[in-house]
Amino acid sequence: MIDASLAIDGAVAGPAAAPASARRRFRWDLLLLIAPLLLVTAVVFDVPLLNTAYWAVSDAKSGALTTRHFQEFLESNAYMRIIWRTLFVSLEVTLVTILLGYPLAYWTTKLRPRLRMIVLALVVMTFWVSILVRTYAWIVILGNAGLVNRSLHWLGITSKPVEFLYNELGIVIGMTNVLLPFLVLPLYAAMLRVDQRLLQVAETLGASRLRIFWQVFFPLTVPTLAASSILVFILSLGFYITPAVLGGGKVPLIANMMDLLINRFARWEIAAVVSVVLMAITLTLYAVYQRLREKYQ
Amino acid sequence: MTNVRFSSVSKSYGPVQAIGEVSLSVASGEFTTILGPSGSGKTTMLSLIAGIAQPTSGRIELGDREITYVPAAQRNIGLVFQSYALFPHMSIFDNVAFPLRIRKLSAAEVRDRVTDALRLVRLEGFEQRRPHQLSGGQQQRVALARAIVFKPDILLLDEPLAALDRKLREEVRSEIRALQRSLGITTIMVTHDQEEALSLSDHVVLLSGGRVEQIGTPSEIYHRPATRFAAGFLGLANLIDGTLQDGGIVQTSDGERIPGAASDRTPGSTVCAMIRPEDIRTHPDQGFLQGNVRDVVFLGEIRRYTVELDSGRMINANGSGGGAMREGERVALSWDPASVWLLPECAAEQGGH
Repeated sequence: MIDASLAIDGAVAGPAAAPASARRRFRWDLLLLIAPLLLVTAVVFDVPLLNTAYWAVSDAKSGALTTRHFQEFLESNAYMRIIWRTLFVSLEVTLVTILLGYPLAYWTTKLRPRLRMIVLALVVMTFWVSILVRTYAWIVILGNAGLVNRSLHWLGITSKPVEFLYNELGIVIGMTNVLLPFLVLPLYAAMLRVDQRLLQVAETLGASRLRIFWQVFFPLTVPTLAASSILVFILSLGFYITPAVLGGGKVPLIANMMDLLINRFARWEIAAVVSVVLMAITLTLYAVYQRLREKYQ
Repeated sequence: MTNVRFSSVSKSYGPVQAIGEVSLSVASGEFTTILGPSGSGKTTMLSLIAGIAQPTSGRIELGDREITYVPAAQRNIGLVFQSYALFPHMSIFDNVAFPLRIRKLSAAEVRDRVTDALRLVRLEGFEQRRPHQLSGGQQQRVALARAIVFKPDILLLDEPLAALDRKLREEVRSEIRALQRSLGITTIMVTHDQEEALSLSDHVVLLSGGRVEQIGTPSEIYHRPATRFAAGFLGLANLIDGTLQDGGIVQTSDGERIPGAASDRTPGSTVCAMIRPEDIRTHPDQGFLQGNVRDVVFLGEIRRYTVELDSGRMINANGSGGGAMREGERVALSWDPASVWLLPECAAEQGGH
């Protein structure tokens, strides 16, 4: 969903940059072409979304407007705690993704073209494997008798198994693995776009390699880094499978809480309130991202 | 005393040789242009001087210091790229201050020197703008200010005028020249534009196929080219092969007799004579050679005639002022015999080595 909105955003930016004469005329024929898609989106996506929002503020039986559900949501601190934890885990995932992804993207741009393609293929390959399979694979790797723990034990680094699974650490590892391509691919493209002559000029002006990186190269990649980080953050807010499997139900995040509310307790109204709150947070972040983007372009 | 010296410098990219065995020296305080068509290795020359690339073999000196393998950051050379290469995320002030801050100057000194540099290129008041808010010509001047603000030993210009439109080009050209004169900075410009090279430089290094074709003042290279390539690359040239006769006359195989300056070469030797179109006078019936006007191109200040001689040879001649000739008209061509130049290249061939 967020993906699509980013893509549409990019498509809109094109015509906006065109000369005024081209912008002035409204293309009815284009509207006609896009109409079926708009209709489907409205019926199967926007209407249910509005319906959810309506549930959050209405009585299930009478249909009258009420703030009762929001009051319940605020009175029990369990909901807010899970939302905070979700935000915190998402932040952790985003930071780890940046720390791993930026160097990986940078290193890839320095490789010979053939090697570049291999590394990128390895990064993209995670998209080809089902997220469920990948998540269970982490159990095999990170479990008490898993690859990592046995290696650590054999090397004599640890005497008893490290708890990787069924806690926040496991969730962060699993989610980072899934989300890494969303940061690496845009960053890699942005890094290739950096004009090499800027770096050469900086060198002739006397700058050391460290200074060229931090004062010229890095600032030029920051807008993309910020955009893809926010994308990763927003995506991790809605993760369900990875926290369910790698968290073992001990560290529920928003999506897992929704599952409980709907499938176990049939509390559709509260689930709707949580959705609305999550939506508000996401949209706020997206607005911040747009403001940042406009400011730095 | 700063000068640049190349001693048999070669540079290959894989199996492709960009320049081969180039030797030249650039005198201190002068404006030198490295001129050549694309693919002649001129950008490689620039990269080697700037330190962006290292030569495969040979030796480069700056003053009395060898800099062949010295990193670019330690060369103290100001470089201006054709694409300006301003840092887009920095203000104009920060762009120009960049080399000064690296050199750890005090804030006050940075401010003074940036202000001075921007005044030199007439861009006071633009300090807080971003590069994309400036026109191409203005960006070019910022790049120039950034390249001179740290008092480099050499100023390198890579096709500095190529991205500008014609009107602006002449303006920036005279500005670069004035700046170079007033600072007395050794300047090396790379260009493929012969007009730029002739109008700006004290010396021109003509490159072709990775080799130095000729080095000389613009006037020497234009009027006394060493090779056919040099003659043809700098402006239009009429090249006529023939045999040298007594009295400096060149006799062609078609029987035409071209009066030229007295030469110390042995009569009977094969020569290649060059006459520039602007040295040729046209007259309805009095001249050395007769022919018909085949084409007239109006260029503003002059008209360029293509004349087909009775032998079938095509000759270019310039006409100016009133009395234009029309296509098909009968014409006679004449010139001052002293303006005919015999290329040394043919003489060398005749010498048979």
